Amino acid sequence: MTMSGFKTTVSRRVAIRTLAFLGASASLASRLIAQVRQQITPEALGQATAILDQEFTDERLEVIAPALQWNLHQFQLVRDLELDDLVEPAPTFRVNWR
Amino acid sequence: MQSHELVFMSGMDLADLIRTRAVSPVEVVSAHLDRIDALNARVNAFITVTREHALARAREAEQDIRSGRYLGPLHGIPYAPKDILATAGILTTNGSRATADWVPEYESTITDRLNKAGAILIGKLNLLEFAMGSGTLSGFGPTRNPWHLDYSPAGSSSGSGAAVAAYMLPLSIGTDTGGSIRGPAAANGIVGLKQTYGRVSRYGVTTLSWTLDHAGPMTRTVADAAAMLQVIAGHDPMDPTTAEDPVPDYSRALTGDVRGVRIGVPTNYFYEDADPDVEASIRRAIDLLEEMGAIVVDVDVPHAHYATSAGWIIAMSEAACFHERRLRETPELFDPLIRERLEAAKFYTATDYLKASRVRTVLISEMKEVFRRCDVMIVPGSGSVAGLLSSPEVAGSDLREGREPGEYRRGTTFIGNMTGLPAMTMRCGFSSGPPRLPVTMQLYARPFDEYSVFRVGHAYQTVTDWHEQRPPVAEQ
Repeated sequence: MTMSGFKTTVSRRVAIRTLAFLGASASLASRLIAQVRQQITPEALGQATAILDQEFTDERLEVIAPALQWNLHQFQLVRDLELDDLVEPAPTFRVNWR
Repeated sequence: MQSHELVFMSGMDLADLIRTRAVSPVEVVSAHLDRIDALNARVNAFITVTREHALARAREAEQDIRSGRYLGPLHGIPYAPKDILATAGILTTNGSRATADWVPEYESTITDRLNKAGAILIGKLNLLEFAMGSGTLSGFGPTRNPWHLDYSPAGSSSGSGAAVAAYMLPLSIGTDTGGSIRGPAAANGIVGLKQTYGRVSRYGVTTLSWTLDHAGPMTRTVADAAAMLQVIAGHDPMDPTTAEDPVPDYSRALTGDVRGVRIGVPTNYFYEDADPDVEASIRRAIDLLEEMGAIVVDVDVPHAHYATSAGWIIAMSEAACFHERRLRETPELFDPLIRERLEAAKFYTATDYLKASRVRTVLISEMKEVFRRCDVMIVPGSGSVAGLLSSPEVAGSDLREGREPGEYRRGTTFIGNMTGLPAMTMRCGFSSGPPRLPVTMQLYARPFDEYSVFRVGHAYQTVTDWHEQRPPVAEQ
């Protein structure tokens, strides 16, 4: 990878394209890829709440798990994006005592 | 002049009448209060109407102007902010049962500056709860679209958009974290400006996302938006993110002349999912501007399709942090949709947040390239016209039968929040219908160059009458 460009990883896209080539629509291919990825269960989230220092009832975990799954599916686009090492977060830390 | 005719005038037309004492602020404010009384039960744009306060201020303005103390073009003109701007001594609900009884002791900088310029607060406007709820399930009920009451006015500045479109008032303020000024401006067919991040103070505006939030004018004319921005723009010691750059005289942009202005039209992403009616109307608007002397050039924003996904990570992470205590102590008071989103956001990772922030850097870099080639970039205000209001059964969750995640994350607005660039949505046609609903275009420009946005937008309004056409409810 160059130090000046932005590049997207191809593995997931190649997989989608391959599935599409085999006859699956783009959205179906995307769904198939998502299903292969590990599903978030309420039980798994319950374990993770220890990290958050926050408790959720089983009823809430049943609501949160599919919502989080749905969001993460969308965020995968961002996670798949490969960025150059020179690309820093936009709001950078600035000392401002004035 | 008949008092009911006053409500159909723009803020700046009213200003001319008030300045020359052809009408008094009391007449203007009374006409709009009558209008609100007649329509609000159906449109539900206002949460609070400050009738006595407004009439008292109008009488003061009348006296001041009669005594030669004219404060400028907003003096005596009624306005209302989205009910997420703190107004001292006046109920500020944030559209939420969690803060339904909040009466702030302080004033937002925006309303403070508008009040000091002589504008008259006439009420507080409905919104999606904390600027992101369902709008259907909150304690204040859904606002309805004046173009068809079964349709959504979009959000989150629903009341601001609908009230202006229904001629209940000429000037309003909305807030925009991912498109919440420009979405309702599109659905209701009005002018909605999200100015450059840092141009206008966020002090006293309840936070959704510290790094994405903006608050700006929603009006029917570009001239009115320019007059409002003139008053509310500028550095504020109470908001360290406000810029110290001088505020130009925006009235000088309202020349009607676009000769030599370079208009960029993206060749990727922005028009890809636009309805045919939408794309055709915008292409006609661009052709018209070209006939008027503008120069049209192709531009490209290669990573534009990342803006909404990355923006959502940032917005919800910051919102979950801001509402942490309320979410822990009184989660049942939140709209179900907000609760679902904020609780899910508790599980987003810090690396996701920072990755999204790095995407901002990429987008800023690409937009910088765009504005080397053009002065204003034109894209759809929204790819589609307003949709039907959601039923309560589906409004409470992002998870819906048959709904693809990708459908939810598309859009033409979030890139404005991610880059901080100024963007203004304005009407440029109607769908073929039925029902006949507004179509809008969106004008982007360089940082702090609202001037160019006003220049092009005003020129377009001087040669078209889309912005003067009234919704059915306004004629009743």
